[in-house]
Amino acid sequence: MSADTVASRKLWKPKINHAFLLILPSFLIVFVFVYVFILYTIGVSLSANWRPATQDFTPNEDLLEVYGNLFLNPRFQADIRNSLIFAALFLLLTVVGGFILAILVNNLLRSKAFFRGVFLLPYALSFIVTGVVWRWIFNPESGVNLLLYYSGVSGIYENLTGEELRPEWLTSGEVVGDINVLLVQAFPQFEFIQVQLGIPLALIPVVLASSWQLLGFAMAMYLAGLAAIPPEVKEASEVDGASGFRYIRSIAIPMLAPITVTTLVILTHVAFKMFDLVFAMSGSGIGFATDMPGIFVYESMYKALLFNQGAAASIVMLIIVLLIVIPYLVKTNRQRTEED
Amino acid sequence: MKLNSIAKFTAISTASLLLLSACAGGAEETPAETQAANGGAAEAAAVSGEVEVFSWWTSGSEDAALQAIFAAAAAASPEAEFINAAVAGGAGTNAKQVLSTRLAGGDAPEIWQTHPGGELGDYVSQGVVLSLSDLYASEGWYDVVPKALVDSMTYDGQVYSVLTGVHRGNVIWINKSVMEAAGVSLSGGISWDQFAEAAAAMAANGVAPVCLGDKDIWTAAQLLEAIIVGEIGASGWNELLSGAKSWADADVQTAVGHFLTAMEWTNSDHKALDWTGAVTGLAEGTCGMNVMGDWAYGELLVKHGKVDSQDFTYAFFGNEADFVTVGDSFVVGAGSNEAGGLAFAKAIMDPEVQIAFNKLKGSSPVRSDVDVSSLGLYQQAASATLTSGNQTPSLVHGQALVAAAVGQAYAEAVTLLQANGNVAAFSTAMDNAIANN
Repeated sequence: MSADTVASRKLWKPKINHAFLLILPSFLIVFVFVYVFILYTIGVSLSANWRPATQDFTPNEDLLEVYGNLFLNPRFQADIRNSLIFAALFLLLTVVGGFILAILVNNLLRSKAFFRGVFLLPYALSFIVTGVVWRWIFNPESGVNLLLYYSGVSGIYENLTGEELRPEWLTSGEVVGDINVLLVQAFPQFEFIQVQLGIPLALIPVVLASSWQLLGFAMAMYLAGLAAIPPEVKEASEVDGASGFRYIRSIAIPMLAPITVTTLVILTHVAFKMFDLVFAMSGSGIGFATDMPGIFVYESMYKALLFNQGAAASIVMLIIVLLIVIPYLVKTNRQRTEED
Repeated sequence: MKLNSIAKFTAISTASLLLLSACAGGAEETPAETQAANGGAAEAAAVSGEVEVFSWWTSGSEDAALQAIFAAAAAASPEAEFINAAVAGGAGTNAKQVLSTRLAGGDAPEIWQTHPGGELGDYVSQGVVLSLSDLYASEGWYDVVPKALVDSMTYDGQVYSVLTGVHRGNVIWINKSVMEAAGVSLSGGISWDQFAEAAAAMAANGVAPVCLGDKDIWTAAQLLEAIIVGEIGASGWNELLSGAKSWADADVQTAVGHFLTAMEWTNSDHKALDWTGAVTGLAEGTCGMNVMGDWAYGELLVKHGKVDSQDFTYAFFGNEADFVTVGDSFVVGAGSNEAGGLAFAKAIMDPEVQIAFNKLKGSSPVRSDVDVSSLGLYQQAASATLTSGNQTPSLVHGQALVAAAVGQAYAEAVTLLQANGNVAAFSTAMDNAIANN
């Protein structure tokens, strides 16, 4: 070992300590207010009768009883179903829509900044505002149905089919499709599921409203990604005679894959934590058609005063989000190590 | 070196954890210690210092009514400083959330709002509220507050809260011109058949007979509650809540069937409206009858400028004397400025404050010995029924002596009932909820 390297090491050592001290406060704050409280919530969920003033953490005799009952609760079953279906439809609509918007805005020759602003604006609104406005829009008496009526669409539909066109939107309790029988045939252990596993129609307006709000976000992500594609690549593809569509399919989409993954992960956790928009727009809906786990947690805690049930439901929500976020973190971490 | 840093970090985080648990430990002791020491003794002490009054009353009329109590409390205890710590939103659910956090942190307000019944019982079981039995005895409140209401605030023989006023939860508000156009006349106690006949006539005129705004399920749950009480009476409802009567009994099932029929008569956008939307429909005559608590009275008078018994009238399912109570009550916290909390409780029960408060809030005074002639026509009638009629607690509004979880189970059972119309499943769910909680 030469004297040179020893000296550089000495210089290097204090540096890492400074860096460590610098992040220590925020590390401690995050540690206490995130990780300690996650443990705290787990403790509440396993307790027999935790109350705010008594803080009694005595565990349940049957430790996982609350979790067991949770999955037998038809409301929570409906919540999980709604969450999964909402997430799937919302992600599809928002990511595909955001990508198309980004391509369109990116190819504008003028007023690019104006349209970027227009599409990003809904993202700046609060979910409550969006929820209330879209509740009015999807009121079957006064909203979009009037538009269908006065534009003549209702009339044409009635002439063609002989039936009245009056979608119930948010006020529908109908669930389309039913995979319960198939599921139970394949896996008899799923017999405990009491809710109809299909798409609740009332969720569709909620998906439209939330996609409207977050479309601008997805677009902004893709616009940043498109700007990062070197112009040489596009020029080369043009020289090779690729059409605009071919360029998007073979070059833009593959090169934007990291953006797609990041957008998907961010939007997925938005989808699973969805609360305020649904709360303001439709509440729980007929037969819990639009209920969400977040609303269930809120009502369990502060209406039913079943703190352990609410805590258990929030831990289940956390696990669902972790199932998506952890693989993403592992993957990006691995990429970073490879780059190093 | 690296190992050393990790050790240091572990030490620091362990220390902060210990600190955290020490704080939590400290919070635990306060209420328990003082609970033992409390009693009428606090009364004698001069009232001074800060008194934080925690409620969910922030809207115009509610806040004005609350201010009437503040004025009286401040006049009676000039040394004390009464602080309004109201939290808006969610019909009290947001306030409860804040209160839970404060109780967990050992920072309870001096006096706070709660529903009598199960929610009150939850605070009693945590040992964070003072017994007011001595105050009830020394002030003679036992003689002026209806017994059923005192019972709903009593745990193990001790009374724990005072009521600012009582709303009636089972009123059928009727648009008079819609009713007259249908050629029917409804008033006082009416049978289901009378209601159904009126509804059919209104529907024939192209008007939705039942106004409903059940984006939030409690309005539909309240409609069902009113129908059941009408069918089985106040005493039957009490038995249903105590578990003495089964929800599967034939008369209850009949009532649930009536509810499902009533749902078919509602305005088609009911799931997209809240309760104020339903009252607007009633005021404008787009629908005929709205089952709603008597807070709708103020909405009709003030917001829509309607005149009592000229533009609208009211009736009740079943016996006119059955009064479904929705009371607003306050509890005094144990441990901090108890004298201040008790002084505010006394101000609430002051006869003049009861009148001033209820005039603004639209409910009925809880004292039977006050002169209600300055209140509105409907309120005078409601006050008379409250004093002389059969009071029974609203399950929807968390007033019954059952765990808060039963109220939530009821709301959830009604949500499912609306979707699948399965009366048997509804009865089973309710019987289980009553048995398990």
